[in-house]
Amino acid sequence: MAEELAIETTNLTKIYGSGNTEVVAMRDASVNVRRDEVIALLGPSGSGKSTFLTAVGLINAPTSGQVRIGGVLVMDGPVAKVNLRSFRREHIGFVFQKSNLIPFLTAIENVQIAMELNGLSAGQARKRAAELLNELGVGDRLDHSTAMLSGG
Amino acid sequence: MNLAIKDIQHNIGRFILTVLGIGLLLMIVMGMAGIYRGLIEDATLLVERIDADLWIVQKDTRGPFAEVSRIPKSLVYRVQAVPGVQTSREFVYHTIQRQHNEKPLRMSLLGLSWPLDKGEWLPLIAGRSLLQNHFELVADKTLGFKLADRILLGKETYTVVGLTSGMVSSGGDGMAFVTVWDSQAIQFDTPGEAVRLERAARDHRGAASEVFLSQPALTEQLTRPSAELPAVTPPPISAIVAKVSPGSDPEKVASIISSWGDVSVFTKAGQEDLLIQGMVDKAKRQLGMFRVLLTIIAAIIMALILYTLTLDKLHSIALLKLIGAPNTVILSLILQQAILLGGLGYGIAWLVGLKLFPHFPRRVVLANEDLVQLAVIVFVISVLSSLLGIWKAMRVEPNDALMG
Repeated sequence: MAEELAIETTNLTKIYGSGNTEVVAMRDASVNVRRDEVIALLGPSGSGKSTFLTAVGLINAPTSGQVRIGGVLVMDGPVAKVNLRSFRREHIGFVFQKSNLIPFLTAIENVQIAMELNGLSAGQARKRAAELLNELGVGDRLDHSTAMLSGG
Repeated sequence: MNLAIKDIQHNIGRFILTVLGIGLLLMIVMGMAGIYRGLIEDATLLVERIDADLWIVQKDTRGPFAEVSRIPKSLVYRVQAVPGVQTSREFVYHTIQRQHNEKPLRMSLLGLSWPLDKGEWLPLIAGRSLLQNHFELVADKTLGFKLADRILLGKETYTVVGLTSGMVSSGGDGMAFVTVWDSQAIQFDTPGEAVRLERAARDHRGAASEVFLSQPALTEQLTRPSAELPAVTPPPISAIVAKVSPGSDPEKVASIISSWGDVSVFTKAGQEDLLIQGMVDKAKRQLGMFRVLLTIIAAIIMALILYTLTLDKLHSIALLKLIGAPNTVILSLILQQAILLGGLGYGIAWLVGLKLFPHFPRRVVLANEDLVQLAVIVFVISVLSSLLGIWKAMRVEPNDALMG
């Protein structure tokens, strides 16, 4: 039932450096995440949580193993099987550990830009971004600069 | 959403200062070209305005501008008699420096061939051209005279009857126009003491000569003013300018006059070549080299500014890559800022230059040809200088957004 899996990793391994400086950050991580499923990764510092997330987020290629998203093989070892940037744009969202916004854009523009990159017109993107920010309860801060937003 | 504009709005103060800096730098590049044009225009101004077909000067000289030329005044009649010559006029031109209102006054004095030439061709902005053979003067406004001002030159006082605009010599000195007669009186003004000494010398030579010993009455002649004595030749003039009759070939007329043993002849184009290739050549090349250097400096400065602007945005660029922005978005962000920087800088250079250059002591001519050329250069510089920033931006990895 591969179609039901949102994320599927097989023997995902990431090795930094080589020879004496070789560091194995992640070894044979095989994880299946179903659609609508929420999972949490727990582990001590240096156990490879960030390495796993960046590999699945398609911003840090694994040394070996495979990544499938929505049933599509996107990474086969370090080789990208799709255009990673457009795949990220269309299928992946990121929530960062700390505020990670574009400082020269306002709150609404930071949301709007991602939609515009996906082909929505500026007007449509702005409308949708305003709806989303209102849902999150920050509708009164749409045009605030990022520096004026609380990090919490 | 235009990211380039958004970024500029975020740091508007810094951007304005940067544009101002680039603008002033480009204004200097623009000014260099303007000074170069002005130099050529000043050098060829008289030749253009006088509009003579032929310039007849002392044999084997490149006068009257590039070097001193002295020819007898009577040559004007000889030239007039050549078939194909419509008019011939005396041309006297020299630069003088006098004290006026306790300040040094430097002017290039041009003698007009009265009554044939009263200066009707002068670009007058006030007053009139000459109406009499003596003691009237038309001056360029750069000399600072007003109409009816009275100026002592030599032993005579001249009244300013007309003011011109833009009539300066190749050296940048304002020009003044009097008749040939007055011009020579100013140029060859001899102090009374020198005349007295000359008379005494002649008297002494006469007294020592056997001719005068045998005919003492001849010595009386020596007491007469030196200019009246046959032994003193009339002052020479600088050149003869001739206009050929309609239908006559200037080259053909020139070849006839060139065959005389005592003169050299230049056509209008030949005289202009002498001025441009001789008098202003080194200054022209020097300005050209400065212009090239300044253009290179402007390019380097712009590249560094755009590189720095890109460095400031590296995190945002990484974030844009992370959310899937294609390279074209990032490339256009940097390129648009570069072109805007160059374009606005060019606009400031042009506007400030228009206001500032007229106050420069030498003429600065902003020719359309140079302005278009600089606009193209600025555009190319903007694109090239953004390459360093683009190169840096392209090397940014999306996961750099997770750092720091």
